[in-house]
Amino acid sequence: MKVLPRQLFQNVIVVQYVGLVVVTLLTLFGFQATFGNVLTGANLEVLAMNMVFEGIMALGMTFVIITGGIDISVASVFAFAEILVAKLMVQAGLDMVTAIVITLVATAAIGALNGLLIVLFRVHPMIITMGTLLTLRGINLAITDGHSVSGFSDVFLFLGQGKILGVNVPIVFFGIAAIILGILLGHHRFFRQLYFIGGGERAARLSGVDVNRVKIIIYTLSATLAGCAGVMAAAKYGAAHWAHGNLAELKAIAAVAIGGANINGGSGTIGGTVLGVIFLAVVHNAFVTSAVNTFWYDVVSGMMLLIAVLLSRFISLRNARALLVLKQGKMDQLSETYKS
Amino acid sequence: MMTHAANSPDATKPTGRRFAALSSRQFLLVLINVAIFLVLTILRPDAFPSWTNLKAVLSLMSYDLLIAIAMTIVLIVRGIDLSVGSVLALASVTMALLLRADASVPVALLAGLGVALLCGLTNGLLVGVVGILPFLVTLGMMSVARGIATVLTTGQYISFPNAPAWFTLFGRYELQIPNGSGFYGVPVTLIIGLTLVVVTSLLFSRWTALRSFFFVGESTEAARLSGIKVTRLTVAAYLLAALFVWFTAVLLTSANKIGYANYGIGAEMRALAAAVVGGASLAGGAGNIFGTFLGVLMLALIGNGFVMLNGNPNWQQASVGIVLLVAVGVDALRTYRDRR
Repeated sequence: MKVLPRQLFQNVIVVQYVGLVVVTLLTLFGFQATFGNVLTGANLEVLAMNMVFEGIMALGMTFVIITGGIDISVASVFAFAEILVAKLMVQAGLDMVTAIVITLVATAAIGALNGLLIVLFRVHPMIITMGTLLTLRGINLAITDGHSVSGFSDVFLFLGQGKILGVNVPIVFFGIAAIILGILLGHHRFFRQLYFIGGGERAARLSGVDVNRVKIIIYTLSATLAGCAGVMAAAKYGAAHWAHGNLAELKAIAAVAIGGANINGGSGTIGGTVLGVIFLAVVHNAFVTSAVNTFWYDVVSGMMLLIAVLLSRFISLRNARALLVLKQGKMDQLSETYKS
Repeated sequence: MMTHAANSPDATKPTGRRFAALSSRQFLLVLINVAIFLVLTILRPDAFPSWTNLKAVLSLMSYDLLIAIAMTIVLIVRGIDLSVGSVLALASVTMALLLRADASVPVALLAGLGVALLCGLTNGLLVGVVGILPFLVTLGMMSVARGIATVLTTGQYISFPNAPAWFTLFGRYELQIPNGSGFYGVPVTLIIGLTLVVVTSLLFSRWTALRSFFFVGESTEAARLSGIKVTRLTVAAYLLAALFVWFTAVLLTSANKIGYANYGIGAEMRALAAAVVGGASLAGGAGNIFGTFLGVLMLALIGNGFVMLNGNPNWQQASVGIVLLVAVGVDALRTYRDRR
């Protein structure tokens, strides 16, 4: 009897994951059968590269969402990293490694500032990160005057366009980051604390979790990942532009939510997020290959977000009811024993 | 001041201060607005206080004002509506397409209203009845509504040359008020915006049904236990927000003489910033229509200031973010002081 809640919990995740994988595969093979050009190497590369930067941001977003927060500033941090690394190399003439290091430190500092303000002001993370989003986007626009910055060395371009063992560098980065962060989230003591905080911040604080420290670290991590994505994006496009990554935060959040994380915090896995990212990438690609008006993509991805959330809500409601029945049964059993 | 301050919950708390009204947020905002006005008048005495400039600021502000009122209403019931900008675009496109197809103006307006209310109803039902987080619901709706608007128009401007002239003139109509030597042209959008501020403000302080929005936002459970129909009110809040969005769509479509799927991009951010500056909170139960008006006015004046002082107008967007962060910081300081 004791195992049941655990089973129920896993049930939610399993149903959601299996459902997600099935729908993704159905879309993939359905379009392959109809159009016959989906499962080619070239198309799969396009498919993956279209969503990889949002995917990298979604990894950081998963951590933030598990703690019950949200980070909508990632898209502007992404564009800021692009512009900063480009300006440092092209206009300041720094060498590649120094420029990248400075950029990543700067983005980490922005993340730390996010975390610090959230902890200090005690307002909803959405408000703080929206403040950073608007501020940074304005700064991006102002320091470039709306023009793009380009003129990179070939070595730098490798970071976005090159391949390692036939796989594009950003995809390799995404894969390695997902594996490392997934293992850490599943097993490392520090990252298990995220679930406590998301489940109940007060309870976590009272049981000795340094909530403030964890939060600042998590927001720093999220911004740094967005910074890495930005550096690689600059290399992929060969130019930095302030409008790059516009609305990427929403795609990242959608991927995390579709992957089964609870936006209220307390649940979510890297595996689920990766599935969510792949799903969004496949759906987007389906529109491109089928030459259906790509404008439909917004409609469908919005619908998918709603359906995924509805589904997880439905399953968790059913589970809550099952749990209630279980508790009631135990109570009845107890009262029976007392009577006799 | 007092009547407006009275519908903000922090003013109803016994503070024990003699000049509660003087320390209220609205008073502070009025002071800041006056200060910005004076500074700009002193720095640019020729250009800034001219009626032509002020008229431009105020009539552009009116659209943001109506959207911000919609956002405030939803924030009061502890919701959020990210779909305001997209629904604005969808309603505008619907009306424009019908007008182009030679539908009569009332039919087109009603269809636009129907579309907006349908979006609001969907939002409200998913939030209030199904119990999904408002953030996710309206994020999905944001994507869906913008997507449908783009699909309907394939991203083109929709003009309606055959529509009756009174409809296309209405949005740019100016009321001529004599000022001795000539006339002040007061834009009708501004008059409608200000009227709606006063009416909604009064309704929120006088009408019990609207007052109970605050109780719903403060604590859903307590409101339900005390016999307030929480679900109905939540749905009503989203419908009301959709109504304001429709007002905006009508004015914008009429003034620009076109329907366009990219209307209102980023409007949800500006509205949220203005509402939070004006005293609303993501935690629900707080919000003040008059405060929101002052917030919108402040952002508009600061934006105009960048243009007036020959600064880079690109910094305008950054200013919204900085104002938001400063407002939240001041709030944190005030609560910290109050707690001591």
